[in-house]
Amino acid sequence: MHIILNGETLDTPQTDNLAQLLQQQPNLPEQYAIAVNGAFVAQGLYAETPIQAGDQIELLVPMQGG
Amino acid sequence: MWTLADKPVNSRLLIGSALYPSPHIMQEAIRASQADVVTVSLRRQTAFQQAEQAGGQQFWQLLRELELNILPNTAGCHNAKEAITTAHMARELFNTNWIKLEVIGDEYSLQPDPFALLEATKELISQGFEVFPYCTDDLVLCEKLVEAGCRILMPWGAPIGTGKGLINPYALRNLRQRLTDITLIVDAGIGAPSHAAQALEMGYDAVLLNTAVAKSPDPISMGKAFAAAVDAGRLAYQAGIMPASDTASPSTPTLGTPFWHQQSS
Repeated sequence: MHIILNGETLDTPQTDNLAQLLQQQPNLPEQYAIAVNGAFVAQGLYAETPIQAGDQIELLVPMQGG
Repeated sequence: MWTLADKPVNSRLLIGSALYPSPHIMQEAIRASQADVVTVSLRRQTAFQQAEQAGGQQFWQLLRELELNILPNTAGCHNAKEAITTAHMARELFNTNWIKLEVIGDEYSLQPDPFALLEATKELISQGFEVFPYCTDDLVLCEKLVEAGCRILMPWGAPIGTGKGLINPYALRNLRQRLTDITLIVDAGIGAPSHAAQALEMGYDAVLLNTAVAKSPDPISMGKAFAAAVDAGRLAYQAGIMPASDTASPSTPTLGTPFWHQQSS
């Protein structure tokens, strides 16, 4: 199925939830936070968060800022 | 020593972590500035950083070594919903309820959107955040933010990155006089140490800046210069600054003036 991860379309195997999707991703950063379709998802809820085709996922990392 | 959102801090300079020539210079410049609080952001990891993960993480590793208070921002958000989501992500990622709330309303001047800012502030305070709102110097907006529960306000000195200093000192002074119990921090627009000193001389509790240090040809020395400037400004405020006058008055005693003054009298 197709999802959109950080603005890029990604073809990924069918997954039941966000935790499974993350397990499929290579090069995951050490620390990150996630929003699905514009809503924050806490780490403890990854396994309970269903992922559907077309979902937009933001995976953000610490970055320089002013 | 003073207290910022219940945390004891020494420095009255809050500093950003962006735009430095290298992560190592960033670390050294921040150390030289003596700041206790550093701002950070959240962004997508770029392909370049994924390819060189150690390099991508280097910034964060070096920043953590400084053991400072982290103040995440919501830079780049253009509405309350985006800012609220980013704040929640920041709280988890950086393990802090502090958030520098930025909601940009005008792309040209990067002026904050006061309406969206207030909306996001109310929501985030109800969810336990300590909101540091980046706002304009509008008194009514600032009063509304205080009513919403802000203990700290961060009015701009000038638009972000301009380095123009305090372009409306009247409004900033008015805020200080009207909001006596609020921690006031001039955020954005400061270009020179003298601008920082001016804000502290007015009674502002602190300043937040980034570009002025990071884009100096020598960020480490400029960090030191700002450390000295905020100390000087605060000390001057505490000492009390003489009132300005439109008429001259000699500082040297006139009594006993020799030569021609005696002859003419």
